[in-house]
Amino acid sequence: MKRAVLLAILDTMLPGDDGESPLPRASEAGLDLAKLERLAAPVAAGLGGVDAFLLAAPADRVAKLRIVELNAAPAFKALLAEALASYYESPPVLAALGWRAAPPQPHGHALAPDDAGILGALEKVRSRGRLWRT
Amino acid sequence: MASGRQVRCDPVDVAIVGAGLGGAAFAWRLASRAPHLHIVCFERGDWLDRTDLPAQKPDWQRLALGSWATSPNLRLQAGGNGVSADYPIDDSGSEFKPLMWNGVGGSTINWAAHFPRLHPSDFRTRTLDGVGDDWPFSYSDLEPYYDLNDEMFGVAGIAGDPAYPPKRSRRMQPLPLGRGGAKAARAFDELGWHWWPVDAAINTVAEGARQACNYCGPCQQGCATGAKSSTDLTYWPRALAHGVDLRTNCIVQEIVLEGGLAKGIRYRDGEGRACWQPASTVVVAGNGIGTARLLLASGLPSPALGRNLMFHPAAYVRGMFAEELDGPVGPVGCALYSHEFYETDETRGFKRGIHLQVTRENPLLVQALRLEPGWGAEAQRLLREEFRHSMAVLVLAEDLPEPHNRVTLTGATEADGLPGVRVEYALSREARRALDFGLARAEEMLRAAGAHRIVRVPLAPYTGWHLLGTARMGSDPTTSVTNATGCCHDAPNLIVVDGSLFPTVGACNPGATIGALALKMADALLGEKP
Repeated sequence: MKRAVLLAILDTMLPGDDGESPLPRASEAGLDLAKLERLAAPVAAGLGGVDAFLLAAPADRVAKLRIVELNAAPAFKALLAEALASYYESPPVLAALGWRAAPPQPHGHALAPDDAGILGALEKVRSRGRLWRT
Repeated sequence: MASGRQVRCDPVDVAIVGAGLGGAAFAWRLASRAPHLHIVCFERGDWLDRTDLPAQKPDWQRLALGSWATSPNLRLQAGGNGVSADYPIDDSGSEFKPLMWNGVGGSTINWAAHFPRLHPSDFRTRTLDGVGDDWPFSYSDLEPYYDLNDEMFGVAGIAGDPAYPPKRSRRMQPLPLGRGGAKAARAFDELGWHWWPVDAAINTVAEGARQACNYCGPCQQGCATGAKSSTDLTYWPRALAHGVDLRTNCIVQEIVLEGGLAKGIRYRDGEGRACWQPASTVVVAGNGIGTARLLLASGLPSPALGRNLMFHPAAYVRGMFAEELDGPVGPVGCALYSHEFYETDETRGFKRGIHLQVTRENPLLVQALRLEPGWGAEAQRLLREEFRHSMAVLVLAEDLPEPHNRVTLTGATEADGLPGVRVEYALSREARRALDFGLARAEEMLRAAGAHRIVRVPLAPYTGWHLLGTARMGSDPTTSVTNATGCCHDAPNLIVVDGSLFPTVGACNPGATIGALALKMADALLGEKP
């Protein structure tokens, strides 16, 4: 399969956005393409011609992929799962979403302590008296 | 019976199957009160290595969906993880998919550590509401064991919740509610509804080698810091110090029954050898599926065995907010809960109640995978809108015991040498009404909190943590498997000490009750009181 076809499929699935901190397109997110290429082969085969897919406008590419999603659901699902996993663990994507690339440990995350007012509101709950039955 | 080719072990007083919550609590209590007893525990899996958990790895999100998923079936499909000795479960006939861990610590390894107790009314559903069955003892009978189990686990929380009888002060301050929790608390207040910070079996201060929680998020793939309590950190070190012999990587094949008594167990050790362990008493704690599977495979004749499986049906609602919230930061299951609708009010159209639980969010990848549509520009727009801007409210309902919801054996023999196991479970109309009521209340709270968009998930299949009721206590051998002390009607020296015992399940997480029950059963075996 041509690399251009794989990238076109992935960019149709994950086109990115142009927000304040833009999400990159899949082809610009530094994904490991080797595994994706293998999974994309049966999806590409269902497109009804890869050259036409490459020449199609973005909306038409979406329509063509939707047809494959219906007709070759297991293959499409496998590719999508791998594409999403690769994309959403990619450092540039995480950075665009305001999230760090490093794993949760050893640093953990910060969680602000509760303000006194919130826990003080428990007095109101307490004041309702017993809610349990015997 | 043992053949000449088997490894024959020296007889023991007590052989326990399963080193999870029930098995660990039982082993510790028995060993600490009766040090003269020779106690051995067989665990099919291994000890957890906390230096090698997904939370420390760049691909942790992917691992959480594969070899470290909460579902044993998904872990097996991904090739397993070498610690949890999983077996396949045919769950094609069940609306909820069983989740568990099969190693030392059992499902406390990957639980959320939300640690509520049942209410006193949960022990008397037949008397109070005319449904289900009463437990053979009351909340007050179990209360000393709840307290002891709390002490062993270490609970972070705040005493004084009016939804419960008074509890002792909690050892540690509660986990922070976070931005989402605080927003929910204000909304509950505005509505005049009950809310309370959860009791969590999670350290908020360091204790010994166990750190305080640093809010990393993926509790359900094992806790790297040891802040989250699991029985490999709580009960087991103390049980081992009392001389309990814990044998890992040993898969029990059969409890040998003769003349209405358990004679011992046949097991396969870590080297694949067939072994025979004679025992005066056999104790089973393999959870509501594993226990039923083993007892069925062993030929225990009880007609109620495997029946009345209960999960706690679950659904959830998530709300999207303009303001930034915490996202997947903090212990996923532990923020706050509301028991405003926990007790029966028949004007709602159903008996029994619901538990509303404000949770933390899932990892980014899980959030991406749950979207509809699942790909394209709209999916990415939705993810932008949700990530760090969403709040999820879990609705748990009480499912009542129904004999057709059950665990059975398949005709196959699995790789672990045991018969295959199948789970059949259909949501009752009553439970559906309760879930719908709860979803509506959760949505009401989220709207009051300012959510601008709501997504309802009417049923959450991958929430099958609570595996309960399949070897229930009772006095009638035709409708129950054990008596009030966990002893099987058909083999009095065969004792069950896990969630299988629950005659009914209330509407909240069962961990605290399983631990308390196991402690109570240990005392019952010794003829002692707390």
